[in-house]
Amino acid sequence: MSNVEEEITAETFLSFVMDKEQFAINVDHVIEMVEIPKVTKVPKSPDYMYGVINLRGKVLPVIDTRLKFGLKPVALTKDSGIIVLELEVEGEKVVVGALVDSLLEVFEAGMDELKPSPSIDPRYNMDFIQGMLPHNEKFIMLLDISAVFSVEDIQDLNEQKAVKNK
Amino acid sequence: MSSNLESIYFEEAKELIQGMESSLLALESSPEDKQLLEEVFRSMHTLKGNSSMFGFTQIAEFLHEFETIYSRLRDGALNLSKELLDISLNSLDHLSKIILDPELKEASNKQLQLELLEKLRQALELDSSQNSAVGSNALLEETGMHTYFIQFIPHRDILLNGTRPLYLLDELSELGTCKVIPRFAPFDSIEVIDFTQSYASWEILLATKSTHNDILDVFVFVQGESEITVEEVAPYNLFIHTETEDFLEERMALDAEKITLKALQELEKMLPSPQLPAAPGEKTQQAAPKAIVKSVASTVRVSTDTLGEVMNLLGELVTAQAGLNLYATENTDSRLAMITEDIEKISRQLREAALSMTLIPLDSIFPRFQRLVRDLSDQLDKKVELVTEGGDTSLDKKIIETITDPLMHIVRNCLDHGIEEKEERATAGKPESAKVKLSSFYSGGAVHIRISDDGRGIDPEKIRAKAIEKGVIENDTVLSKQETLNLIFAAGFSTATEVSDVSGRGVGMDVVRRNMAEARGKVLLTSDLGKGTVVEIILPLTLSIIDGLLVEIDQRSHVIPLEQIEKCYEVPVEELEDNLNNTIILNGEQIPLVKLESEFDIETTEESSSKNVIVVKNEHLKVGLCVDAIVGELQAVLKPLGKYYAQQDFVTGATVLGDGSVALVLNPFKLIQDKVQHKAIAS
Repeated sequence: MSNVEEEITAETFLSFVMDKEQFAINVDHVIEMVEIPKVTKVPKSPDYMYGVINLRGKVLPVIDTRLKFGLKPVALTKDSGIIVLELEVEGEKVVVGALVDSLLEVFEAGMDELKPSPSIDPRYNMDFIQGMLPHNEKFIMLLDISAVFSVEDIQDLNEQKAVKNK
Repeated sequence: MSSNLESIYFEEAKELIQGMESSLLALESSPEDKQLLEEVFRSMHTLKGNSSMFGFTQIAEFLHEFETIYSRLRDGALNLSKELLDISLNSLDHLSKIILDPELKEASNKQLQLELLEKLRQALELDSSQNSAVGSNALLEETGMHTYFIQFIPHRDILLNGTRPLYLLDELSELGTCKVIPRFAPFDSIEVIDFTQSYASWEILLATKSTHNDILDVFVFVQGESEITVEEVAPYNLFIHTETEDFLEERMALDAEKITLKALQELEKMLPSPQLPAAPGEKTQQAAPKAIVKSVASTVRVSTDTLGEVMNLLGELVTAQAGLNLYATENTDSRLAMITEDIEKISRQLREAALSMTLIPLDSIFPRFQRLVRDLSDQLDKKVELVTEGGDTSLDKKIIETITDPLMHIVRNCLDHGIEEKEERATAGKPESAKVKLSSFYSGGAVHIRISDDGRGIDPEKIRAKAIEKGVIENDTVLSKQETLNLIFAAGFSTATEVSDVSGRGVGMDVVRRNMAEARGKVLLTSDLGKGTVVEIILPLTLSIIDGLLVEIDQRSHVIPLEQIEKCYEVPVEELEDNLNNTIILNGEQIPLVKLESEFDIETTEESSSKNVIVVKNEHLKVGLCVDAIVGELQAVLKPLGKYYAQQDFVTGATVLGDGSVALVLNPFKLIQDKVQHKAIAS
């Protein structure tokens, strides 16, 4: 009986690396992973808005997840990739790319195993972390996708920037 | 009922109501047109049928009352008066509201429904008291009628699948004169009745112009669940004999003998058959089906999502095509070049065909203007005739949606301010009835919509005085006549001395111009004092594909819409540097300069002796944009950047180039607007 319950609560996650640290997101939102093609920057946008790419004829905005987290920018390597996500933002479906240093693996874990982060002086913006998932005797930070990729947040920052420019 | 079906009902209802509105407005000018009346009636009937099918009884009930009047009008027993037309138009407005609120949850809808029903009934009563004699005459005169005997015995469980037999009888009674006699299956006692079962059956005598098949069509949805027999009794209207009614009355009692075909036929033989002129009878029979054929256009309903998908795929095709072209020019293979050319031709035709699917004719919104002018001229006590022309001119649905309100506003303005009072027109020696013309036509890849009137025109002096008073211009500003007229579009300008109910809804012509600009349209205004005013709107055919100029800034591709470009110049680098106030003199004109590379924080690595200045222009400003190189013209499929770049509104969108890279499509005026605002804040 307990076996069945475990299967019900187990969910699938995709892990990736940023700044040598492991993060994970729920695969429900992931459409695909792509290599980094030629990127077109949009002028006057926040630094963490990496630009737009051509995803088979569609124009996809890409967010530099590193910068969004307040980490330092790093030159792209052959391991760098874009995770294409589909999110619901303000009741509308939005497709967005997330730039990450490298992709790791797909794994399963139960949401009931999620632990709060004990950190008191984090290097990251902890608003974006939903909690810690144990995996292979390590803890992986589970991202709160709606917080990381919220549009509201981006628009606010844009406005702040615009005000600063003036 | 699934929401998908409901949305089909809703769409169809909207179309039917629109159709009825335009037919009614047409009827106003030609009340004798039987075909129009027929169309209105048929639409009402379809809508009623659809509504009852969905169980929207309130709507069906309302339509029933409405329909009764129109069936009388159709029979010639009633005249279409202006009052009746008013009620009808109001009823249509009401209908377009209650199809969204079929249960009349909104108190105001309910209230209005009751009021309108009352009015409709009054109209009918008033008329039947006046015209009862005419009515019965009309009955006699009618030719091509046949009398049928119909037996309708539904199966007991017919109610279980939501069928309401009474609606069918109702529909049947629309076909002509009808007498219905209900029968009940015997049952032992009231206790054993199962309320979900139907115990009733009906015997019907119907005199109608409709054919045997038309009658069977009424029962088309219940054929499997009931026994239906339709038999002709007489080749004329049996109800002209009072004996028929008597006979039916007799048989109506609960325990009376059932009516049979045989009994009816015997009755028919006893009665004298009227001498009918055969030829006209034939004619009416033929005329009716012909009209039906005409109204059935060969169209297919496609959801806008599917159309959008087709347009998307076509966009990708255009992109892939550009890639192929590039490859073909790089490889000197003559066969490849030929095939590429063929495919390019086909994809261009395909794109044009697909584009035409997303376009809808302006006809679809013209009735709203007829209505507006009709209501407004009444309200303002002016006599105005609206002439429409070029309704087959087609535009993107999105553009039509964006421009409808501003257009209505222009027409409203025109009636309120442009058209003189009756006395003023008389003194000016103009005809009493003013003419407003709404015409549209294609011209050079764009659609022109022109609203002209023969009113008093706009007095530039008044405009000038007003502009000075409002602080829009200085006392000593020198302006040409056209420039003065254009002040109407300035923000904070409204010529109405007092805010009137009609045009002064806090919206001025500046909003009109802004809305039109959203659809990438331009508004031009010309006016002759005393003779009239012309407002002309120039719009692109579609929003999804634009003609642009591909430019490079540090090898990054950008697209500038061609429609905004006035001229391009090649300028030596020295002239662009050492420039204190950032202006440049081109063709003897001083033009402010915007360097896109510094504007976009791009550090140019390119070394060249000259750059290009692209002069863009809108109605207020002329600006030179400085770029590294001009690549050439292109047709760009515009793709939105989405919410993440909502703040970067100087980028209209992006387009995928032939080599697969993404180029930003710029809106230079948004960029400049930001700068102008900065300047205003700084000073």
